[in-house]
Formats: sequence, C-alpha cells, structure tokens
Amino acid sequence: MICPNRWWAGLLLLAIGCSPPTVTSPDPAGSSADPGPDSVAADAAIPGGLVGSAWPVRMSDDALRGPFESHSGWAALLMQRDYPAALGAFGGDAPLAVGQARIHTELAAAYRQALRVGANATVQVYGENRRDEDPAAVDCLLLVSYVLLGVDDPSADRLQACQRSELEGLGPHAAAWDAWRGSGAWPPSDALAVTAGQPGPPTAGAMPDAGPLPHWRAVDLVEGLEVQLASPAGLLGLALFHEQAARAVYPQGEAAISAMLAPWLLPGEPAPAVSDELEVPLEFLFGSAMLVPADLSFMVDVTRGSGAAAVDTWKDRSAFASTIAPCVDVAGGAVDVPCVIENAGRAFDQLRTAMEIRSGGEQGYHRPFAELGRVGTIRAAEAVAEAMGDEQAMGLLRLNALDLSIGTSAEPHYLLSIAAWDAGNRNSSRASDALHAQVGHIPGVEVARFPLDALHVRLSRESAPGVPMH
Amino acid sequence: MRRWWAQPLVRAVVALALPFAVPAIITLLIWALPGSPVSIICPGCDGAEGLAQRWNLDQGMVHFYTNWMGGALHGEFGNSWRVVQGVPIAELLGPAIPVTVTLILLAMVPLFLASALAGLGWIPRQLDPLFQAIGLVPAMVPALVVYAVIALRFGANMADGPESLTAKLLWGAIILGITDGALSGAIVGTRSLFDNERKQQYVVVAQLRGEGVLSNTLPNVAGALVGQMRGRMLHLLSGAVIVEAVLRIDGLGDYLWRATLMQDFGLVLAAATGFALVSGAILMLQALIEVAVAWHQRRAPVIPAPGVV
Amino acid sequence: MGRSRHLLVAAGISAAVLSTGAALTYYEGALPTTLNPLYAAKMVDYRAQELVFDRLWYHSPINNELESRLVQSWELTEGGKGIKLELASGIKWHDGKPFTADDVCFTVKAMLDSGTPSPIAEGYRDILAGCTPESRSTAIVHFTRIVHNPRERLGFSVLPEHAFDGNTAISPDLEFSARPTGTGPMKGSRGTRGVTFQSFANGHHSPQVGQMQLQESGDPLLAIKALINNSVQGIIEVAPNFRADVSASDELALKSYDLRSWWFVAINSKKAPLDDRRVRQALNFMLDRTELREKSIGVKPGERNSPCEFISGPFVPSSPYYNRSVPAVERSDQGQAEALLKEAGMEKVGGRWQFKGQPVSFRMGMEKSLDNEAPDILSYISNQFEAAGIGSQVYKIPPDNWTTEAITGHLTDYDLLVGKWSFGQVEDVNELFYTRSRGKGTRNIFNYSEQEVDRLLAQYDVAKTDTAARDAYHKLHRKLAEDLPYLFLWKLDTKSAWRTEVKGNTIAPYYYFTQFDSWRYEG
Repeated sequence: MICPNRWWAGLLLLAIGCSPPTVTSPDPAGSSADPGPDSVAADAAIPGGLVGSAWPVRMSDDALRGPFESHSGWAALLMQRDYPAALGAFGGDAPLAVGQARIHTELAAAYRQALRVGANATVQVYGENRRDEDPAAVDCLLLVSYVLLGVDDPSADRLQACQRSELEGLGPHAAAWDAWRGSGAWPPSDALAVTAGQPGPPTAGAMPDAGPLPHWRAVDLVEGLEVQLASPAGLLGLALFHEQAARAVYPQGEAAISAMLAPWLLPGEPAPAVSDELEVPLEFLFGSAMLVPADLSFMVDVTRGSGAAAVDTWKDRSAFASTIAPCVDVAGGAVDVPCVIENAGRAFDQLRTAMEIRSGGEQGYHRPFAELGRVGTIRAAEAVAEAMGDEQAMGLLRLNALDLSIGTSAEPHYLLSIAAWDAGNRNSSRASDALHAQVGHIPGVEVARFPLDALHVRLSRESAPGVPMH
Repeated sequence: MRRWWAQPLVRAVVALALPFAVPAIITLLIWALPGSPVSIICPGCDGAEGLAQRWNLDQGMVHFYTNWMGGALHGEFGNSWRVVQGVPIAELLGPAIPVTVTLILLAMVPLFLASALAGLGWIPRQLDPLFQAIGLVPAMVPALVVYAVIALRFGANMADGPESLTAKLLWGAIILGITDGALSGAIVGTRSLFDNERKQQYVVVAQLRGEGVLSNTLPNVAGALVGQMRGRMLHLLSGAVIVEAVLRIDGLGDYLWRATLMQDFGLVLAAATGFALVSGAILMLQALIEVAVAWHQRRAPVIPAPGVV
Repeated sequence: MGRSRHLLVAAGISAAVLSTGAALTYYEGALPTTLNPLYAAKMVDYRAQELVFDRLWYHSPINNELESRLVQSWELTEGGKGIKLELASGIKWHDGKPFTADDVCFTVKAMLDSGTPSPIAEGYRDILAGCTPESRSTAIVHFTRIVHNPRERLGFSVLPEHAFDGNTAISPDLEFSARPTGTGPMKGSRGTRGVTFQSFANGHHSPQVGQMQLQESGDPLLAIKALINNSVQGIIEVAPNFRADVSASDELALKSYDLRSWWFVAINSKKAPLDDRRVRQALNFMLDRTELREKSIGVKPGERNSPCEFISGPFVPSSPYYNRSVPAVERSDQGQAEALLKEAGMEKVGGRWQFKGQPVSFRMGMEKSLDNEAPDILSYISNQFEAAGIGSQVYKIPPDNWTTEAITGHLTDYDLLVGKWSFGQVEDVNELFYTRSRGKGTRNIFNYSEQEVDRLLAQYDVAKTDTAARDAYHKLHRKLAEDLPYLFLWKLDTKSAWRTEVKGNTIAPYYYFTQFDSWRYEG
C-alpha cells in the first residue's frame, strides 16, 4: 500500500518499506492443523505411517543425523555428488564399508547410463544417419551397440560388413559381442576380454578410468581424415568393476545393491527378484531419491517385474506407489502428468511438515531432503509411464524431473540416463551438456563422447541454417 | 511604446517557423552523422537500396526534407523504423501529445498556485531557502524512486492501463512541478516581479486612492508573467523528457528520448516537431497576450511616470 | 492533497485487483525489435515469433521428434531434390483467411527474392531453389541439390501471401513487423512498452492461455520482486545470483532453457595499440576470469556443477567443435601480461601503461541487458584493467543499438565490447569472424580480418565430411585463441523462473514456446 505521509518521507518509506511482504516461509502441506507424521491428513499423498519411516523424516532426528553430518564422505556425496572425494573420505584409516558400497553402486549405475549414451549415439549417427564418408569400422561399433541395447539389428550382414574393417582388434571385438547376443550369460566375460579399457580386479575405494582413448583411429572414406572411434562396451567393464567392488566391500548389502541397480541395468542383464522384505541400510537411502526400502522394491517391480501393475501391488508399502497411484490408469495405459506433479508436490509438503514437527522447527536441510523425495516420485511415475508405453507422459515427467534435479537432487546416474534418452532421440545438444558435466568427475565416461560428438556434428550440418543471435 | 507590436510579431513569426526549422535542423544532423540511415532500419542487410528509395534517403537531404514536410502537412509521418518497427508514427504520437500536455498542465498546477500565492504575498520570504533547497533536487532522483514503487506495485502492468498511467502522471507532475528549481523559481520569480511593480509610484497612488494593488499591477506585469510562465512551461517540457523516460510514460518526451537513442529518425523528426508545435503554441499565446495587454494599455488613460516620456 | 492521495490509494487497490489473474505476463531482457520472422535479430524476437507463427517443421521439446502442425504428409520427389507437402486442413490465419499452399510457396519465394534484405533468408538461399503450388493444399518445395534429411532444412516460419498482396520483396519496416498475421497459437501486437498476445483457437492449436503480455524487465531485483509479488508470472532469463532465491520459494519454479550461449569481450583490432596481437594477448592475461565470475555471477572457485564454465574459443565446452587441447586462462598472470606489453613497445610510467608517450585508456561498452545476468560485470572488468595499469571508460549500449550498430560493425570508436552469442543446434560462427564483405561477416563486430581465419572458415563452408568440418573449426579455435579478436570469457546456462500457477509449461530448446498449447495459467 502507498503510505500516507509527508512527501519526501513518504516517498522514502514507499521505496523502503511499503511493498507487500514476501512470503518466505513454507506453506505446510494439507492444512495448518496437520497434527503430525503419523496421522493421515485428508489430502495426504503418502500414508501417515510411511511418512514417519521416510529417511528425510528419520533424519530430522539430530541424534540419527549427527554421524552423517559430521562425516565428510556424506557431505561430499550429498552436497557435491563428488564421487572421488566421497570415496576417499569413506576409505582411509577408518573405512566406512557401507559408504563405499553406496558410492560404488551409484557409479555402477552411472557407467551403465554412459554406455547407453554411447550406444544410442552410435546407432543414431552410424545407423539412422549413415553417410558415404563413414568408414567400415562403424559397422562393428553398430553391431556392439545394438547388442548392448538389446535392439534388433536391421541389417543381417552387419558382422560381415564389420569384417571389412582393417582396424586391429575391432573385428574380434564385434564378433565376441555378436556371439554373446542371446546367450543369456552374465557377465559377458568373453566379450569383455576383447573390449578395450577394461579395469583390473575390483577394489573398494578405487576409481579406474577407461584407459587410452580413442580405442581406434580410422579414416573417412571421402577425404581420408582421421575419425576417432570408441566402443561403448568399454564402459561395461567399469560398471561391473564398481558393482563388484560394492558387493565385495559390503556383502551384507547384496540384496540392497541389486535393488538399487535394477532400474539402471542394461537390457541383457538378469534382474533381481522382487523382494517383499528388502532390508536396506539407512546409508543406502540417505541422500538418495528413494524414501523407504519398499520404494526400491517397487522400482525393481516396475522396471524389471510386473511393470505398471506394480503400482497397485505396492501402493500400501511404497511412498512412491501410494503417491502416484491416483494418477495411473493401468487399464488405459496412461499416466496423468499434472496429477503426478501435483501429488509429488503434496508429498514434498508432507515431508517438510513431518520434518518440522520432528525437529521442532524448520531447518535448512529440510527443503533439499524433501526435494529428493519429490524428484524420486516423479522419476517413479516416469518409469511407470515407460513401462506402459506412454511415451508422451514419460517424456514430460522426465523434463519435469530434470528441472528439479539441481543441487543435491542432481544424481549423476539419473542425469546420464536422460542423456542416453536424448542421444536416442537425436537431441545431441542436451546429451552433450549432460555428459560433459560428468567428464572429469566420473573417469572414463568420455568414451561415450566419441559417438555423441559425431552425432552432434552430423545433425548440426544437416539442420536448417542458423545464425548466432544475441 | 511605438514598437509595441515588434516583440509579439517576432514571437509569432518564430512560433510559425519553429515547426519547419526544427525538422530542417534535424535533417541536417541526420546527414551529418556517419553511416547510412538505411542500415539502421535493416542492419546487416544486403540489397537495402529499395528501402533507401522508399524512405527518400537516396537523393540527398533536401529531397528527404521536402518529402517529409509534404507528408507531415498531411499528417503522414511514415512508419517507425526502430522504436516500434512498422507502426505508423502518427498512431504512436497521436495519443502521446495529450499525455504530455496533461503532464505539463498538471505540473503547472502547483506552479500557478505557488505563483499566485507568492504574488499575493502569502508565502513568507523566510521559506525561500526551503523551496530553493527542494529545487536543488534533480527530477531524475525522485523519478527513479517513484518508478521503483510503481514497478513493485503494478509490476508488468505498469506499462499499460489507466490505473498505472494515472499514478504515473500524478506523480510525474508532482516531481516536475517541484524539483529542478521549478517551484522555487515560480515563487521567487513571481514575488520579485510583483515586489518591483509594487514599488512603482502609480501603485502607491492607487493605494492612496483606495484601489486594489492587484488590479493595478496585474495588467502591467501580465506580459512579464506570461513570459515567466512560458519559460516555466519550456522548462517543464524539457524536464518532461526525463520524467516520461524514467516513469515510462508514453508521451512525446519519452518517444523523443527513445527514438534518439535508437536512431529512429522518422520518429525523432515527428516528436521533435511535436515539441516545436507545443513550444510554438506557447510562444504564440504569449504574443497574443502581449498584444492584448498592449492594446488594453493603449486604451487606458496614460499617467506618465516621472521621467518617462 | 488528501484527495489525490485517496485517489492514488484507490488506483493502487483497483490495479492490484485487476492485475492478478488476468493476462499471463512475463519479463524479457529487452523488447523484440520485430515480430516478422524474416528479420529476427535477437533471441527475444525468435521467442515472441514462436507464439505467433508456425514453422513448417519443428522438433518436439519432449522427444525431439521432427513434427509439423502444418504438413499432414510428405514425400520426396525429383530424385530427392524436391519434397511434396500435403498440407493439413482447417488451418486459418489470424485474420480468418485459410492457410494454403500458396502461402508456403510465397514464403519460399520471399526468401529467395533479392528485394527481401533478410539475413535469415540469406541462409536459405543456398538450399532452396523454389516452390510450386500444385493445388490449394499441395506444394512442392525444390532444393538446389539433394540433401539429407530435407525436412530438417524446412524450419522456417510460414508467412501469409495475402498480407503482402503477393509482393515477395518484404522489407522490415512494414506494419507486419508490429502487427503480424500468423497461424500460431497467439495473435501478437507490438506496442510501445511490450507485446500483447491474444489466443487464437485454430484447427491445429488449442491454446489454454487467453492472453499474454511480454514486458521489458529492467532491474533484475525489481523483476524478481515483481515475480514474487505475482505482478508478473515469469522471467525468461534469471540472473544466476537470484536462482537460489527462486529455488527456495514454494511459489516459484526454476526451469531449464536449453540455449548454447557464450560470453566474450570483442577487441577492436583495427585500433592501436590493440592492432598488436601481443597487446591483445596481454589483455587476456590481465583478466582474472575466476574473480570476474565470482563477483558478477556468484560462482565460487572450485564449485561443482556451476552454470558457468570458462572457454578458450568460440564454442561451448561441451560442443564437439570445441578444441579441448586449448586451455582457458582462468586466472590472471600479470607477469606475462607485462612482458607482452613491453615487447609490444609499451612502457609503464607511475603504474600506468603508456603507448607512444600517451596513457593507454580503453572505451568499453556492453550490451545493456547483459547486466541483468551478470550485474556490474563491466565495472569489474574495468577495475581489473585499472588495477593492471590501463584506464577505461564504460558505457552500456541498449539492445537495439547493439543490433543496429555493434553487430553491423559501426561502433568503431569503441575499443572493447562485452557481449554474448547464443546458438541452437547449429554452431556456425562464420559470420562472426569472416572478413566483412557482401554476404559474409555480417556479425563481425569490429570488422576483424585475418587471412588464415578466412581460409579456415571457408574450409568449414566447403567441408564435404563431418570430420573436415570439425577439423576446420578445431583449427579455427586454436587460431582465434592466439589471435584474440575476442577475449573468450565463459558459457553460462540459462534458466527461467515461472510461478507455480503456470502449469504444463514445457520449454522448448532455443525457441521456447513451441509447446505453448500445453501451457495453463491457474492464477
């Protein structure tokens, strides 16, 4: 309101103090009379009993949160998603095995996504957009990519075409992966044995890179200029290294590790069984986008089990399933995106309210912790939409989750999965940006850069003309 | 006294000439600037010769000026090149003139009031330092403060809508009428005018005759008062450019400002000519008032002052 | 006075009542110069035009699929040198007239007409040969040669033939530039202070927002306050300093806007002493980019996942054209700078550098709207030069003057200009560095000219293979990092802020409003 006062004093007051107040405090979910985490408000997204067991709410207990807060490994993981620093902090003189296992598991997921980036980019640039200039060697990489992606190769003579390449080691590499296709064997040890850049035996706390790059140097068939090539399979060894390191350093977490990895597995990998009673240490949930152990089981069921039907199965046990259940039409095969966004928002508010009550007031960490829950919910709905084949909803949910994936919510394996999706959709700009953000932080992901760069150059030269704009 | 008509005549001639002289000067300036005006319409364009021809920019400044004046006399000023590219200038300036006139007239209200009160001797001299101190504040400063308040209040709607325009005009008028020495000048100037006149013997004689001071002095100072008021209005006109630009009021001053910055020469010409017309109108008004006063004086009985023939 | 005060209060209250829940209003850094797609000069032009027009083909912001709202089906003809388009039916222009094949062909012909002095059309003249309307709903577009992915080349906005009376020589100063007629979801009208958009339901669009307004934002703090107060509902480009505030608000949402942008300081290499490469290299070492970034953008050294990454050449670091073997200069090196300046014949007297006996002082300018994204950066750069012994005067240049004068190479009285370039999928930088001549170097700010650079740019132009193109640009990057027509600063991610009442607001890369039909405003 304009303050009624003397002219100059009035003008000054107007400038300084008379603008409407800014709302800074969060608006608690549901109603202002929300009595607590264990009771159910009429419009609650997550059942009351589940809210209390969600890790953000549990972590509002100072005594429980204290050891995590004081450990630099958790700070590096949560605040910066800095894997080398976190691994280093979890090692040392008093190693924290469960912390190391957590990091290695996330890395195992991240490398798999980077592999998908490279494989999708290879298929797009040398499969869908093949040009006369492309050397024969690309047929080998195409073959390997199709195998890794579990996609039928449109060409029956791919291996034959590959054999025309004179690059050393490339032919056997492709042949080995061709032989592995459909065998069901896991891990594909024979194929990995002829894949460049394989790390040594898995060691907790280590972060090997992909070895010398590029894997091969060919020449284009028009001008004879050097073309640098890398096989995306080179990243599988790194993924398995970290997976095995996680299992070795924390054997009691076997089931939890498998469940955590399940949504990120490659198509040819065997999936774990869906467990009703999954035991997940708090250290595996803390700072992740999973709220309760049942969320991991739910995600395993969606991505590797019954698909969208998992929503109904888990809606009483999984925070994700309960939140998104009203928005999923299993019979119709559709996910209501605005409903998911709305409900995820309500879950976010619910978590914050519960945290406030438990900690006796609002704290700085409440928001980022609750945000992870919101992002996880949307990602869960995205997985359901993908399982149902609702591409439109999946895409929209992905974009929404991507917008929210900043700061502590920016999990590298998720961002790389978006990059893989983008590469498959020929959105090379965003895929490049996402991959680039991880180069230098996750050693070896630059393997995927070779086909992705090639894709981007090809697409940019075949687009409508563009001029620099200011 | 014999040449009482000289000054009003000069004023009238200048008033009529201004709307022709100002665009001529601006045309000279356009041609004096480096670069081609066509590149302003279409930066980096090849093949802009057709544009140059359409805008009469291809045959020198006299050709341009005569064509522009010809169109202006018919109310055609062409299209804006940069400020609102493609929109007829007449459409932009049509609503802008009453806005600026309203702003000036509103700003004159405190000035008229203050002048009247000062002339009547109702504003004590002791307050002069206060008014002068206020007058030291440049219009830009309170204008920026008011802009911030209005921007916070109206947000993006501050650009359009009668409510925000009313607020901007009122505040703009207050700022114009008070700052930059406008109010203090009106008070001090009017008071000194009347004070000097009151010292004349005829006033003393009139007072002894029981006549009013104002009724005797006013006709004699009318010309000078009008001159002062004209000066104030011109001062306000120039201040209006700043106030309109800062408060984002779509008046003549703001268009002139923006068009100059963006080298939208068509709009500069039209807006400047608009200002010249307003100035000319004020000048003409002063000339007519001077004629009326002189005629009234010539009809009144002459009481020569001592030493005056 | 009491009465006018009451009047003001009443005016304020009624404005508050009227101003919320009406039009969806958003802030841009500057107003669009034109709504005519042929003459887009700034990103804000493209974004506004995306609401008013339909491009023949566009990429879905959801899955990047190439889609068209105007074309129902297509097939290649003439052995691949033509494409036959079967247009969708039921589409109207904003004035109610039907959209037909004549409009598509008119647009193609307008772009090919030499009387249309459009830099955007210039880019299409190499690819398009003409267009033939076969029927009311069928058009055949002819190419100059066989092209891969021909639909990718047809990303231009379609113009109405009847709005120009069939005259294909379209100039930028027509009323169409302010009051265009399109087939997009919104009908636009450029005013003096903003642009108003009115929804237009059509056969192929069903916008859910009735009215939109685009306004110029001015001060970024005021803009954020206006957003928080719901006086405005969106800001297209939020300064990095304010992003944390937006993220922390329950009523606001930070959204990604995919735009490949990088910042630079252009150097006038035609003016002494900057015509000496050693002097330019010295300036490069004088700048402490880390400090600049921290002060103007708020990114601390060593911060992970920062939106701002240093560059050493004219591409973003994630681009395949970026030569990663050319390191960026992140910290100043005054010793190296001094050595170079002495080698160039300058001497330091009383802490000030002198050239031929005169103190060196630079006239520096910056596009004004950049101050919203990196507040006071111009002053910080100036301060760094002052600390190193070089004086400067700083000026902020309005966006339109930047378009008309800086980009066209007319600001030759400046020594340094701070600016930003944005790109989409295509990162063609030829127009920035080619020697300016007819049709080339149209965005060469200081008319930089270097033979080797021209040769590399020509190599890119004629490259037959992707590798050759990429090699040419890698070499260009290295050459420009040595020759320094620009001091390359950084790439900066772009984020928008929208109130949460705005739902379904999917933001398309580069063009922004491509998916506007899904936007809803529940305010």
